[in-house]
Amino acid sequence: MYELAGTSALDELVRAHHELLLVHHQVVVAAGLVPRHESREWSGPAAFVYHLALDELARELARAADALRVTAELTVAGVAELGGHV
Amino acid sequence: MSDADVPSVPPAPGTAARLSVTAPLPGGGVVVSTDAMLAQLDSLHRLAGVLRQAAGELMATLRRLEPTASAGFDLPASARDAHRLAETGVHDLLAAAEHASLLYVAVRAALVAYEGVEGALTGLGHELGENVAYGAGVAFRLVGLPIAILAGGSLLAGAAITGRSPAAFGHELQTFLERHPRILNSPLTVAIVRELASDADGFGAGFALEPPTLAAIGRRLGLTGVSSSANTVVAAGREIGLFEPTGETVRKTSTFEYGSAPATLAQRAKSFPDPGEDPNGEQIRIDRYVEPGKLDRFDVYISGTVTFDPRTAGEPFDLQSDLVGSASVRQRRRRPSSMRCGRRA
Repeated sequence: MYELAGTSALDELVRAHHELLLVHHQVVVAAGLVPRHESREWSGPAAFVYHLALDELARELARAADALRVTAELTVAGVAELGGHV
Repeated sequence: MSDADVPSVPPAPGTAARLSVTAPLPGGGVVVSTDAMLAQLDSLHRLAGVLRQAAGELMATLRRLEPTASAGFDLPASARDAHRLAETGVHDLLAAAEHASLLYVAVRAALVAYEGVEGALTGLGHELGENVAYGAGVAFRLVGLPIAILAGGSLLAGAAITGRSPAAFGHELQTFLERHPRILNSPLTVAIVRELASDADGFGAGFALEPPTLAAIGRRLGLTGVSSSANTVVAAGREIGLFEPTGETVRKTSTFEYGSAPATLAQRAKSFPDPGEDPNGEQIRIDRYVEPGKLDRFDVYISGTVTFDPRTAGEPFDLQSDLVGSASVRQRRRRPSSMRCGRRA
């Protein structure tokens, strides 16, 4: 019984790892959609605030991508650990 | 999910896709390129969609793992940490999507506001120009007309003595302008010509010694403007054999297929037809953009005026076409900018 439950959890973790990698890839691609600011295209006080917000958005996405990468790595570690027990 | 799965953003109300630049002023100012801002709007809209999609997929993974995590089975600590981190990731992704959406709304609002301010400034400038043109029309009627008649007589007399047609002067002027393209390509020249053309009705009203109030009412009601001025010039020209209509035809010369749309203004500029350089002398180019599930979109490029000779010939892009084209534009009533903000006729 313990072994059956462990095998099922292992399968779930492997699948979760695969899905995490896909989501991580999506976020990395999404980061490329953050507009690049060009002062030749828009400048002035409003543009300055907008550019700051874009920088913050880019940082948020970088943090989210990092978190997803670490999550995937932890999941791999979980898979290895669980695989050693079942 | 690919970028293409996220629908393209429609232009903000009152912001047709066009280039609009407010030049920086000494001591500060703003530069606004509407096209570039619209492209950024599109990116932000897509970004928010992609992030929400990613958050949804991550949430689905977490929900599927819930029974495993709560079944009492002794999951490794790293897997539990991963679960908690992924929960935070969902919140981070949703927050980033929300920020992208807020930026989208802010840029859209800025775009509408810039358009409104620019429209108000243009309206004020035009009103001032109309008043100046009205004064110039009155002055020309009272003082300049005799001088103009004298100058015209001298020109004709000089032409008769030298044996050169008066039209040759016009041809020489055109040749000079062709040799110095920077004069006509200059934004200042374009602005002056545009303002002169749009103020021509004011000049005409002044020349006709029309009461200023009546002229202003005619303008505001859309009874006079560029089209009425162009109509007057064409009608006057036809009295002396100029600007006669010709039977131009439009025919397809070639068809090309490209893989992608121009991504920058520089790439877009390369699409302008150049009758002197293009193999078939194309003067009109139509680009069609086809995307599954969407209506086809078109870019139409039209080359500029080829000749300013007022005598009608076989050239379709001549002065006659310019004037008749301007004359056929329906007059629009001028609205205060606050009313025009948010819509474009």
